Amino acid sequence: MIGRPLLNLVFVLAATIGAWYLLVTQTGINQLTTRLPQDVVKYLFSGPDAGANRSTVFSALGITVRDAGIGFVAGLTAATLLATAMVLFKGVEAASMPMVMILRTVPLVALAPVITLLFGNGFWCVAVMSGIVVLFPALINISFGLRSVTPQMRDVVTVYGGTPWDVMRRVAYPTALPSIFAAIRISVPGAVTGALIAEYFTSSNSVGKEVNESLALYQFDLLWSLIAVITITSVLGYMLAQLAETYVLSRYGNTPDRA
Amino acid sequence: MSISFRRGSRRGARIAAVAALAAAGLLLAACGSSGSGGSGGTGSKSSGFGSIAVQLSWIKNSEFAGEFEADSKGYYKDAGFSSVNLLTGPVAQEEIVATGKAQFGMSNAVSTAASIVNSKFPLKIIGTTYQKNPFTILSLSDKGNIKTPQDLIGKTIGVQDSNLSLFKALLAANGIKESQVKIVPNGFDISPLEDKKIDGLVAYVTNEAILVKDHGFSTVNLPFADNGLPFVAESIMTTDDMIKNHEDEVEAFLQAEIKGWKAACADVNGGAKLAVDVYGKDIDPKLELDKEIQQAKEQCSSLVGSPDTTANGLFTISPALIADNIKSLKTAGIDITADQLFDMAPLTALYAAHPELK
Repeated sequence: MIGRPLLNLVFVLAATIGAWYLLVTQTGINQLTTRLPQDVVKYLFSGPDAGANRSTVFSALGITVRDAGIGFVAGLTAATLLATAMVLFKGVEAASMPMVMILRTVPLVALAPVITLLFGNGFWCVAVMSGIVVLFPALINISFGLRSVTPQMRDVVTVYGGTPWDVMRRVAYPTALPSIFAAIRISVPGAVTGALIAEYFTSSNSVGKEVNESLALYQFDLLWSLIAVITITSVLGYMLAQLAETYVLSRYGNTPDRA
Repeated sequence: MSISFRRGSRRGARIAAVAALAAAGLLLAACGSSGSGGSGGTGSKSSGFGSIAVQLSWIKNSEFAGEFEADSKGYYKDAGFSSVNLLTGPVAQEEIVATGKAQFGMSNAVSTAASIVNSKFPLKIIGTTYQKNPFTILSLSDKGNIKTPQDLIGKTIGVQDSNLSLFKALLAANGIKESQVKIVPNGFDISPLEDKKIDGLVAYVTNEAILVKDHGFSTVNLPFADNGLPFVAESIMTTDDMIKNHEDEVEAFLQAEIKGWKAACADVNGGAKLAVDVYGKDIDPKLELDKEIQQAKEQCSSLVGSPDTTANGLFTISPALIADNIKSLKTAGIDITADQLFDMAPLTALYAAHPELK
């Protein structure tokens, strides 16, 4: 059961490192600004200041993981609630979709000043910005899942005196599990992206902030290390979601959705 | 309202792009534009260095009045350059020069020193337009009213990510702890300051400070240069290779620059007009002539000239000033020696050969 995600992980990491080498060595980019995987390993583990470098990189990573977690929970919760409301009450979809479309269509960087004005530079700013990135794909996936209840199943619950809410609880949510997990999987990298954007507007020493600072000071070792660890973290998060999916769906007797 | 959103030390636009790219992962490398650009100054003949590119540190406003004069009055041509392509900033100027996309670039001592120390860029500062940097904490007299470093305590200061380490150095230089000041991220947008949402903003004495004042506010400045961080800005850098193998070209360029800045400070209106009508005419929002004239005046009277330049000529960096720079850099956490950062030999040789330039 664990074999396949593990194989995926190895493949993804190998492909990423391969692409990294190719991009840096074969495209003729000036080597002053680029770093190879071994440079990052040296910076983080074997170089003279490796200890201090690690603490800079990993404390920033910790904050970004927390920020991504906030956005992940906020976005998925909002998407689930909204999808449920949309399926239960027809009017909700018509009323909320334009708003969701606005959030989706206007670039987050353009919306950001409004968001910081409304929510400040702290927790809520991260929750809203990172949540917005997560919201749309999750919403579409989850509401699709909730709607895939067959009429026959719905009839069975209704015949036994069940309400629409009972249909939702006993049939729609279990039916939607594959879609919900698909939403969770794509939400992981989405939440990380959202967190990095949000961190442009908050003041903690996060990856988003350190990337900007390291660029200003030409600390390319730090920059590439940050990018490497956040990419690996994102991949690991995705794999973790996939593991959870495999486990839960096998308990519910579903075959995992590999869309 | 938001006029000055561009400037990092100074590369806001690039930073925004990279924030997004960081998420996408390893594509960062693709950022650097391809092509070698600026068909290099390879000529070692006494005349005819071909065409070169010069990377400016900011949009083409009167901050580069001297360069505009040198170009329009033909000083670059007289010095042997068939054409000089002035590239708009802000970008990572050090990167552009070190990778050969421009032969010369404008930056400041902190940025250039950081590139040398942190990533071994083969660069040197060979002269400076501004004898002291124009960085300031800009505040309003009826809000933050920050006149001394101690006034920073307990205040909310808007700081650009790219200037964060510089701001922390200002605190360190004045014995203030980071925990005593509230730092909020801010671009170069002056509206949070004018709306009194923040007490102070990291800005330029010659740019934002004038803009805010022109909007009718009573402004207060806390210049970095007078409060522990006297490093040079709008300094000219080039590569070690240029200095070693094309010294005549470096000297020729400095000669044209000196003539250009002499002209610009002799007639501040002329330089400002060149910025508004010719070189920066495509800038949106449009440059305002009044503000550009004020800026040109201000920079010539307080930044470009000093007792050192009166005695030894424009662009000079005296040994004492070099020592001050090295000390400032140490405060900012950058350990570098004078020889690693500055090479004044070309300028000294130029003034020795042409004392009339002083």
